[in-house]
Parts: sequence; C-alpha cells; structure tokens
Amino acid sequence: MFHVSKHWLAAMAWTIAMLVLAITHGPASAGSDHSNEKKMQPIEASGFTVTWAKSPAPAPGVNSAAVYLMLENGTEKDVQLVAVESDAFVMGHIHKTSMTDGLMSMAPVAQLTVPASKTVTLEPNGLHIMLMGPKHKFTAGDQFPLSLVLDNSHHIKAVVNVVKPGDVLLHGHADKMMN
Amino acid sequence: MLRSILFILLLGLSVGAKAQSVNGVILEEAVPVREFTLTTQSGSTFTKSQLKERWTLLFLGFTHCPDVCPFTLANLEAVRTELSQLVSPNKLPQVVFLAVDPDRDTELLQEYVKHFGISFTGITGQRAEIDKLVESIDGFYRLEKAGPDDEAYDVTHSAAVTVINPEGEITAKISPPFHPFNTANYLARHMRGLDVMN
Repeated sequence: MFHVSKHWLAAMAWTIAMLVLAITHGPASAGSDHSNEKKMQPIEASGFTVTWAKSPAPAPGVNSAAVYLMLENGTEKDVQLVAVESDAFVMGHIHKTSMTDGLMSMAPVAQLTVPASKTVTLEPNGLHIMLMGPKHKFTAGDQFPLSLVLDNSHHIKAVVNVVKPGDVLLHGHADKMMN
Repeated sequence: MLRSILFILLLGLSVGAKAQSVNGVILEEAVPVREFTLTTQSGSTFTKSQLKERWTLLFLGFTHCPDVCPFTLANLEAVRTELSQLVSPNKLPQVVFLAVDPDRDTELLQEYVKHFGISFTGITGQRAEIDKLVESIDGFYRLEKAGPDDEAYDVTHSAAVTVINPEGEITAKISPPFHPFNTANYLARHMRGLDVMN
C-alpha cells in the first residue's frame, strides 16, 4: 500500500512540475516574451525574390531612413507582409505616402498583400519601409540587413544598399519612364 | 508629301502629349509674393529680394521627411540639368526648399543641404515668417504631433512646387510626379511665355 502510494506521489509531483513548466514556459513565451522570440531562429520563406533594395543615406541628424525595393512572390499563394526588422535600426514600419487634395501625408500600413506570382514595388511617393533609430551612421556604399516578416512568421531576408540621396530616385524614375 | 505632313502632325501630337503629362497649372494672373524674412542654411537673410531677377522653384517640406522631400529635391535637380540644355544659364531657376518645421529643421538645415550635394537653397525661420510665405504661395502644412514629447512626428504638407518669376510673382504650380524631361520642357515653354499646352 505504502509502496503504491509513493509511486503515486512521485507521479503527481512530476505532473504538477510539468504543469508549472507548461504555464511558465509554454505558449506565453512564444508571443509575449520578445527576448525569447529574438533568440529563435526565424524560418526563411522560400519562393520570394527581393531586388532593387536601396536606401538613400539619411542626412546627418535625421533618425529615419526610407527603403525601396521590389518583392516578387514566386509562390502560388497570396501572402501578407506584416512587419519589417533590421539589426541596424531600432524599429521599422511599412508606410504609404498619399496625396489628397494636393497634400502629402504618410500613414502606416498594417499589412501589405503580395499576391501570388506578382511583384510589389516600394518606390518614392508610394510605399516605402521606414526604419527608425539607426544604430550607427550610414553613408553611400554601405549595406545593412533587412528582414521582411510574413503573416506566417516566416522571414524574407534582404540586403539593402545605401545610396546617395538622388541615386535611388532617378533610377526609379528611369524605370517608370520605360513603362 | 501627305505622309510627311502626317508624320509632322503626329510628332507634334506626341510632343503635346508629353508636355500635358506634367501636372501643371498656369495662373491666369501672376500673384506677387508677400514680404517675408527668413534665413538660409548658411545663416544669411532671405527675403522677397532673393526671389527677384531669377526664376525660382519653391518647394515646401521638412528635414525629417524620409520619402517625398528627398525625391522632389533630387527630381528638381534633374529638372535643372534638363533645363540647362534648353535655356540660357541666366534663366536657369534656383531651387528653394522652405523647411516648415523650424524646431527640428533650423539646427539641421546646413548639413541637410550639404548632404544632398546638389544645388538648392534651404530656408527657414520664425513660425510667423514661414506662415507668411506659406500663405502667400497658397500652401499648407500641419505638424502631426501626437503630444509634446513626440519627436518622430510627420508633417502633412503641400506637394506642389511653386514657380516664381523674376519679378517675385507666382506664375504656376506643378504637382508630382516631376518627370525631369517633361517638367523641364514644360518650364522652358512657360518661361518663354508659350503656355499653349496648359
């Protein structure tokens, strides 16, 4: 009797310990604990191509930088771009510049649809990625990493080329002129 | 012969179509700019006198503007380059960037202008003086500050470039996109008084 009871107690203790572990380190750690999330290696999304990723060097004293790029979705599924991250900046957002009644304003875009087999272009006076809080000074010729986060938490990695303020714009313009 | 005439007509139409692709409005009557006193990036005084004896392209913006302002300034420089092929050097317009967010712009303006490495004058100053010029060009801006501690705010502002003649009068407005080639052709015609395409 005593023997059985000892085993039963051990089993109970183990169950309680597992329950405590599940509560303290279980699902809550996946989303709410940002430091734990950062340590997890993100899954790289396949079937996507980033080209033309450029950022005009911000003027001294300006703590934000715009990134322009073309994102091709080579898969057969529409995806949503929900966040942007870069180790070189404190934070990033997707922004849209729009003109209403002759006024230019910027608004955040919560999620951006990249349709299956289509390319979304982020270019001046339209969509751009706005990165804030550079961790060091950037000049033309530098590069920094960028991660585009999809709604399934998969990441699309890109390398952004820092260019002179006018360069990206005029090339973009040339592309537009050819269309 | 008929073919040649048709070709010339078609060529004329295509050039016309290009000129029309500029979102420009020519004022029926030129409007004089009011007196104002602002300061350039190098600290010199900039008044209505600096708008005289040359053509001016005036653009309103702010130094923390990440998208529209660098795009417009770079394009206006490209317009100037295109224009240099079309007009004599004394007709080449100066580009003036009116920075409407003096709390952040005043300190940065000199470095901001230098950073672009292109030819334009940055001006800013007292809010009341900025507002005089903004009203004068029928422009608008609004600081989108969420609160007194918000330092990363956006500024909603007029997108148009104001064209000012050598008498200090507003003669036209151009809205984006500022395609360098088309805008230069449009301005060259405008400065010659050939506004038939408008």
